[in-house]
Amino acid sequence: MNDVKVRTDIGTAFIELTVLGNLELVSSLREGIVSVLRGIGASEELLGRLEVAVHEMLENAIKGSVDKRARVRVEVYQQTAEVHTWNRANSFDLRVLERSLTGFDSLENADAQYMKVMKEAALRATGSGLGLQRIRAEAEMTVAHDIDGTLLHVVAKTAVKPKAAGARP
Amino acid sequence: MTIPIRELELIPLSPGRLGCQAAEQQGGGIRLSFEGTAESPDRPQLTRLLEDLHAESRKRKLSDVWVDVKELKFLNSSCFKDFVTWLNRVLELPVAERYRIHFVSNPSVRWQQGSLHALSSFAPEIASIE
Repeated sequence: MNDVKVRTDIGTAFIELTVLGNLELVSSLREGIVSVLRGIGASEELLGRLEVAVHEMLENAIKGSVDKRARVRVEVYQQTAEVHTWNRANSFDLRVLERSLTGFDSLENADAQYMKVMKEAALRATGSGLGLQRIRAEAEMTVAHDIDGTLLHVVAKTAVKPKAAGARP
Repeated sequence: MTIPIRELELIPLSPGRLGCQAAEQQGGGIRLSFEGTAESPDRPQLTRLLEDLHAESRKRKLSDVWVDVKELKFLNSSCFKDFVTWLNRVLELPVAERYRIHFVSNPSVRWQQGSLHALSSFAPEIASIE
């Protein structure tokens, strides 16, 4: 792991790191990121959603990376939160991803589409195809992507709900 | 009184990873109690466990299985898929041979709200959340 950048303030955080990956690392990175965000006072509700996004996106990025490198960035501000990943991918994976992400920039029909993909996943022996669906339908985050040559950038975004009065910090 | 079912137990690969205790419930049924985190390295164990559980449930002609995930801190999509596959297997059985699956949750764990809601929506005829 290298290129680690962490900046925090009350209620805000910017965390970025590059990993030369294996999937065993994802768990530790997710827990570390959640720990930093808990330290800035992010709500448990937001943490629960972001940990799903961080885990699924980072795992996808490592699995899909042609050079085993992946970069993840988490930005939390007063009103918005974003998770970004970057990795170099082959052209086949990029085409598959482009098809599977159609419509992910909104939450419209997220539950119905999730049920459809769950049914397909149940009948498929390899690959779940459920990671990004979980981010959209369960973590309630929009997912978008852009491709620059072979560099794939995926971003999940959500609004930060104000904490309920009396909620745990 | 419950009777442990050793064949359906999972020993964590390392501390904090996926573990599972299994017991026969008084009055019938099996209860699995998960702990730790279920992620890609744990997937082979979980896949096998749910296949064995399905076979055992059919062999015993059970009507109910409880899956306690209160102590399961995280579940990734690969492991989530195993639960989807299991539910689908039960749905594919003739109605008279199906068994009900009760997920026992901790509402304060955020992933459980979303994932268990999705599972119960996927198979409302057989799956519920307690």
